[in-house]
Amino acid sequence: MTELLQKLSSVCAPSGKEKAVAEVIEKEIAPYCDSVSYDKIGNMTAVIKPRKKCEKVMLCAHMDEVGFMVKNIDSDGRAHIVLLGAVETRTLSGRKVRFLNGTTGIVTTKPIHVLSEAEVGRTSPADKIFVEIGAKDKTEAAQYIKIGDFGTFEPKFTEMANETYAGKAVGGRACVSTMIELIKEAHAAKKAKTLKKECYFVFSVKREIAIRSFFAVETAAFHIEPNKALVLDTAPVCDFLKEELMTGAKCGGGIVLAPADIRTIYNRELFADAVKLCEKKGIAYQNPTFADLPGGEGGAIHQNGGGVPTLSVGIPTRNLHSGAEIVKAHDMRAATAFLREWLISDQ
Amino acid sequence: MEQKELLFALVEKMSVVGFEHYDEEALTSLVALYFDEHEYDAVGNHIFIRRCGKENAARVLIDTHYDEIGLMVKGITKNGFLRICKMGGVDARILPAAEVVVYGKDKIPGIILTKPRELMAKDEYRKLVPLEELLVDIGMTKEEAEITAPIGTPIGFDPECTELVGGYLAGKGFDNKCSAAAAMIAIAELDMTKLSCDIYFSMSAREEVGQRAVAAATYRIRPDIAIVLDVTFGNAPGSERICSSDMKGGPVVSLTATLDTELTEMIVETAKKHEIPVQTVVEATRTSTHADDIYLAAGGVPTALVSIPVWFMHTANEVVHPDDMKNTSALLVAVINEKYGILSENEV
Repeated sequence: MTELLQKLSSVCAPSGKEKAVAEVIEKEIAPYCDSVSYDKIGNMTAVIKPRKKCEKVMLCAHMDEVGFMVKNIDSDGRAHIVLLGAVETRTLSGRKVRFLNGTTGIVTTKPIHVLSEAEVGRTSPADKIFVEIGAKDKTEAAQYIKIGDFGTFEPKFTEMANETYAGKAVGGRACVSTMIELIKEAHAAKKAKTLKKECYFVFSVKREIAIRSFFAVETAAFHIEPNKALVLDTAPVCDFLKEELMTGAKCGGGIVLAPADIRTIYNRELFADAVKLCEKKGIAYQNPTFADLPGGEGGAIHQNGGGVPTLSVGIPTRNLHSGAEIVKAHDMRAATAFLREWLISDQ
Repeated sequence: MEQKELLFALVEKMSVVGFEHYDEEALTSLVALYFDEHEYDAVGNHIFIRRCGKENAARVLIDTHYDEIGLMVKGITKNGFLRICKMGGVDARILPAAEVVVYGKDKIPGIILTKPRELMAKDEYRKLVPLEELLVDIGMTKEEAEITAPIGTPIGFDPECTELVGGYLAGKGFDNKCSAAAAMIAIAELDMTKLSCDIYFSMSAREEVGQRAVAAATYRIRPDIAIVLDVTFGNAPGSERICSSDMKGGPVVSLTATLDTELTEMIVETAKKHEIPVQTVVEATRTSTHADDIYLAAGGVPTALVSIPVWFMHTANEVVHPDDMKNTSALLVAVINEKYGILSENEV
């Protein structure tokens, strides 16, 4: 698990440039799937289904990550960047970033020794983010980067005590790696002739830049026309601050089963069954409410076609959308166990 | 050892201000081979000596402070997160989501926690997180953390270094280990048989909390002259407000009324004579470096300050250009040879 997560986390694949991570995922899952295909906008769908026709279930985890694009290069050879997704801008000062061609840069920061009075005690302006790559001027910079280039945080995987992992995109990729585990189990179940659902595993694109109802996963749902759907995504966690600042979700507290987010009231029956299943099988879960928080891909899936009963499962993640997101193996295992019971085992 | 390898090896040594003893053995085995003697004094200064073997040799002090900015464990929350305080002028803006190393019973990795954007109030992202609200996640329970990282445990930044385009190097603690590397290479290059001075190289302690230790080293050595090497601000957007210097422009000699103007002028002249690129900066009354303290210690020491320009000072990714380090080494060699060189018998 650690190895796969590290591998996935180290791949740089910001929204709009998911190909590199798609290749890694495809290589991992291809031997276990009936088919792996891409739709016109880049969502990957892996199918495992039994011989007999049965219920179609769509499971979805996004494979992209937050990142940035080069907006301009100034005469000193520094890149002015714009962010892709809800990057925690307070984590940017002095941080290493990686352009997709491998060039490393550092987000510039004015030395504290020379800050004006008005600047003391404030973060660096979030709309003026510059990256230093070491080029002496615009011409030299042009050999390494150009306007429109994509980048992400510098990959740096850290293994902490008690199976706690940190790194860029670790939350999203923990979901991806859980899906990969599940695909292997679904394959085994198919061989043992115990698989009773047609499984459509979707690795979606552009989730991090989703604004309002612009969710790329919609097209995957359109093609699959599932009978029900489950979205596996990160759950933002702030369990280290004072009570009133918390969402209620904790790292290490098990999967997050939220009844609703700002975009979706999750299917009541699916939700109730999921809670029951956790209780019955002893799977760690938590029920915070994200009703006032930006919703996920469920919002796009559940309105598709004639409407799709949808459930959302979260892996609690600290430091979401920073260069060092934090997840715990305990929660990833709970997610795998839940999905196994939900999808494969006879309920 | 090559310059870059030496710098990276020095950066690897943990030396958060006040904990200069932490990697003492590793530091000594790295540095001592360039020197004849090594002393470690009561306030944390490492002093390395290279002798010329002549009687009544002059004593030249080359000082580079060895300590670096960092953090310290101030408390442990009931959930096992570490509360922190600053050790030296850490730029607090770089702390959210920073990778750190906790130097407790074992060296363990940690990540500073930050509130996700999704959970912030409007405009909250503009506010700097106060230090007392910043916590370090080390993945442990309170009971585990109390054993592994008790209160008072130092915390440093991730020591991994990177090379950028154009040869620039990036990493933590380049303030002031790039000076140490440059000085060591210069000292190793000196032909001591042709010099009438002993070289005292102090990797001094506790500069980052306000120059608290170097005077002790100065009293111990009683140098005839001193050259302090430190870092200064490389030109970057926003830093023009103070007198700053060009990256790749060569070492920066401080012109100041505080220090010894003759030695300072001699250094600038020597650079010109040997065609070593050099820059100057005016710091009229105070340099805020060890030079100020050495100058008045032990009855007064003619002292000059030479600095290497860096970007992003006091962050976890300080950036230096190897050319500036090389030219600093070259300048140091030239100055010592000019001042203390003796002609060998054959040449007489």
